[in-house]
Amino acid sequence: MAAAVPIIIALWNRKKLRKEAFGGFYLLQKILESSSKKIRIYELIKMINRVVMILALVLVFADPIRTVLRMAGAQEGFAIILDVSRSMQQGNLIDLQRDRLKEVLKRMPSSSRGVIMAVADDCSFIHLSNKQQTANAQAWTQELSRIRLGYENTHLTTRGLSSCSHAVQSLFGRDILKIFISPLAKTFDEVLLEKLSVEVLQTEPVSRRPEIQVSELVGESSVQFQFDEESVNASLIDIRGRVEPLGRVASPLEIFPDRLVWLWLQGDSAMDPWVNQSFFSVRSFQAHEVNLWAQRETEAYISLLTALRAHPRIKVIRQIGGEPVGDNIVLYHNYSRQIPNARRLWYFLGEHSTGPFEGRDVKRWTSGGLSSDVRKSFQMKSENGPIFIKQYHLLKLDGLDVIETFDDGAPFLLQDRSSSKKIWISPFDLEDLTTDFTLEPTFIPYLFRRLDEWLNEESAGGELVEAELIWGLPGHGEPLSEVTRQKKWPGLYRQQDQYEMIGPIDLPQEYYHFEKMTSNQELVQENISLRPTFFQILMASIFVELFLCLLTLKSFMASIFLIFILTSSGLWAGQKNVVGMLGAMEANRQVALEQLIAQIARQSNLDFASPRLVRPQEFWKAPVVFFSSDKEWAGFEPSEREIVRDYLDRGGLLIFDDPLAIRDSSFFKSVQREFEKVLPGRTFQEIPKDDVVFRSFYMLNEVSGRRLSSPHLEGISIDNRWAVIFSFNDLLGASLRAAGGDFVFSVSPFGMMQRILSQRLLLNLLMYGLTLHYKDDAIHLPHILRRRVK
Amino acid sequence: MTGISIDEEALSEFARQIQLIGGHVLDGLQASKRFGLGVEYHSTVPYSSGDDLRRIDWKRLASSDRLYVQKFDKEEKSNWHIICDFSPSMSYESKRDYANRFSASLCFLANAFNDRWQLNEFSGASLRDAFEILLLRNSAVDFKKISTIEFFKNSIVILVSDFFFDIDELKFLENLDASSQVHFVQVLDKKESEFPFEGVIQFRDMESPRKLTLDARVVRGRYLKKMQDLEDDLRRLTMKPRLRSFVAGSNDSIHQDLFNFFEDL
Repeated sequence: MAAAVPIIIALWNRKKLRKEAFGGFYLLQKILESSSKKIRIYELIKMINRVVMILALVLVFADPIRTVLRMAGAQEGFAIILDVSRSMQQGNLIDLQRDRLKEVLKRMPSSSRGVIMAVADDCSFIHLSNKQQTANAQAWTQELSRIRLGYENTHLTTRGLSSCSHAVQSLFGRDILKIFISPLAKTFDEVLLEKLSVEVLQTEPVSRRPEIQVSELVGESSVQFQFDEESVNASLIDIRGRVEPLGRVASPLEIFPDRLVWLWLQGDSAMDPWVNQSFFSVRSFQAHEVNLWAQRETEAYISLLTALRAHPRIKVIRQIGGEPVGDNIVLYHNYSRQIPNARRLWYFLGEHSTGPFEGRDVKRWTSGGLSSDVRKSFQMKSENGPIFIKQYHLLKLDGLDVIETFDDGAPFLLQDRSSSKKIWISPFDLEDLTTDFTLEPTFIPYLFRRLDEWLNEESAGGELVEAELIWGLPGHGEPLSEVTRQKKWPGLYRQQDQYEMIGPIDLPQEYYHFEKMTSNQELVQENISLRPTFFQILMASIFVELFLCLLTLKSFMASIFLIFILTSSGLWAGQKNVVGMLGAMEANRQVALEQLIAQIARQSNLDFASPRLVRPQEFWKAPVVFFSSDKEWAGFEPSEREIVRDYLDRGGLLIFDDPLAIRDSSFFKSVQREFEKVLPGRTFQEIPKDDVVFRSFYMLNEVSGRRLSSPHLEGISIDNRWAVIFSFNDLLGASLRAAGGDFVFSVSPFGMMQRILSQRLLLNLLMYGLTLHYKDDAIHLPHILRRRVK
Repeated sequence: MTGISIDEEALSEFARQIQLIGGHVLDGLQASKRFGLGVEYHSTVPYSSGDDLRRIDWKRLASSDRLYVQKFDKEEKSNWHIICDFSPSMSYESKRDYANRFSASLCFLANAFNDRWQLNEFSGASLRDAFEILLLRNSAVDFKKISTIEFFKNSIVILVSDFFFDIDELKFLENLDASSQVHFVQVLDKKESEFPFEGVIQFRDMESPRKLTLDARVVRGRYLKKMQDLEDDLRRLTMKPRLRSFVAGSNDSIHQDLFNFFEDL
């Protein structure tokens, strides 16, 4: 009925049309020769749009519901593990996998959030574009068109899958539905899958690749290979001097320079990587893989992780909880059982644990009142200088020989008498390092030097395959002997009297088709409200109507008026607070501010829009404006000073953060000079620690930053309100993270806590910009006093 | 003359009106001399753009180094060709009435001057015949027929129309005798020149059964642009020698228009 209203109006208007026999019809005719269709279409669009608008409005109020079938087991969350191993490169498995993934996502309850992971030899998270790990199914579906998965040339391993399972457990802390989408080889450990409670989408195997027997005929300038007929006929690879394409992979692929990955280059993306193209990251084989294990993630664990990741030739796999796996394992804090299968082990002992060793004594420094001699005893001497700690363990080392110790007698290299296996040990707790771990000038060189020794030790080097490469697929460069010894370069290898052809893509022996994959999950009905959809349609329709109205002057004025109303009421801006950044702000600090705002948005319900660069003329759009520069600041234009003064007078807040973290830097002096002109007669003063700035959100007693160059914030006040605040300690630098998630800059002297306090102070400043003296209201006093007493 | 009977009373009323208009204009013109092409020397005036180069006073140029043109009294007889557009679009509002009175007045005045005159293709017609033709005819100007007319030498051709047709059809006028002049008198109703309509209107063509339903507000800008283009086309045509244009609103005073027209001659 409602939809008929505009039609009736249109018909009514048509009925009472005014008719005019017009002398200038000739000119109208000429106009319409070019534009009659446009005008008719315009009228038609207008009518259709109005019908849609009214229908959408009615449906928004009616709130219709759609019933869909969802997986019952995914209510608590879901984890979808995608196989990205080399077997995926067969045929169109990648496309099929992606289709299946979308189908599975469609079956997920709309309220549940989940994670998507990629597994081959190890497990990695797939991130949404905003760096989020978890999202609901709809967000994942939208994101999938943009995400390109990096498919690897490594095998799918049990370790990778276990790692995924552990990661899911640590991320969600509860059992959730885990679905594994893979052309799973039958030889895979299905018992493990059952143990990990991972649901596998699988069908019957369809093909099998026989082993290929090959013999060699060496000529003067070439090598001919002869294969037995049966092998060649049954083989998926034609090995007579060329390699047939084996799979189709999206191009370009993501590059992982530190992994064993073979990549497609630009060009013939449908081809195997080794057909006419070659690329090989030789360096990738030089990188060592180290598993960093801990029962739970602590600040010291993260510091150690950061330090290990900074090492150029180490690929760190973080492992939280479960059993430590891998060849090279660094154990942090508390693991007392033996790990016989690991090639290399390094224990970092915790406060209450001594690992698999028997504790004898703990030397402890607990009081600051000790003499300097006692303090010296906690400076464990290393080749790189003393490492200043609070305590370390003395151990009974029965069955172990101590090969090396610190000067103080604390062991750091042991040897098992029965197996002659060397064990590395750090007998102190990283949490007790009194200087920041990532910055400490002694410990990092010590750690890196010891890591190199640890990883390159001959006795722990493992058995290399003594194979000779007699014909290798061409590459950009010659493969290293280390690579060819392990038969990791595609080509023909001779090992004693046996020949072995290593294809660029080593096919798994058996495959499963995706087509018949079905989930065992029980399906339940879910009612989904269509109101948001119709609301979006309604909004779109209103905008179309406004746009059409722009074609006439009166309507144009009406549109301007509407836009003005929307803008002034904040609806247009989405009612989000904007954090401004003054142009020419130091690039890293811009990123840090963006990261901080994104983090606040994720962790709290504070609703900030992404920070944006603003000119003084646009200051009024942002309640808080940041600026940070490592150079002397040129200041505002003379014409802008009036605007800035007005902005500050009316309640704006300008925050300056010194990235050099130096007291009285040239940046601070230039800011001082400028504000003598902007706010004459007002000077920078120390902001007292009991000011509301320090409790606008968190209760803080001290300032923080990347480096504590000043114990105070300074500011210029107007009407008992801080209008300009200057931080000397590089607040933003302390929370800046690299793309991988690690902190970019080290902080001193208090380590991780200092970073956290920096972020808290930044949030306090933002809140101060929004709420000013809100926390000074008497109603908060009892709560604040109670907290202070605690 | 036309073979169609005419209301004698209407005819005599029309004749009275024309006589009145013509009388007024004639009085005005006698007060100010009729300038133009002639043989009897009247005066010498400074040269201005558009003056005939043949009338330049060369002796005066030689003596004063300034350009002057000689004006002559109009003593010789002129030949008038009055072409009035009778197409249905001219019937819009008061356009037809205006065009009839304008054309009839020209015929009357030519007659009063004892000049030779001709209305459309009808040569040798009396004033009564001309009035009858103007009151009864109802057809568009047939330019093919007009282009075959043998215009007299030293003619003044006056085309009275709204010019709602292809301007290219008038190009034959460029080939007239060198001593002749052509004047376009464009008659427009105020509604045609200003397009003051509002809302959705069904416009009907007065010369065919075609109809167009349009939102007047939407097309107004484009209509006025087309009108401007038409006037520009006419102006471009009259930028050539011996062609003049004159826009007359059908709502304006015909006495004043006629007087201005003659002043412009």
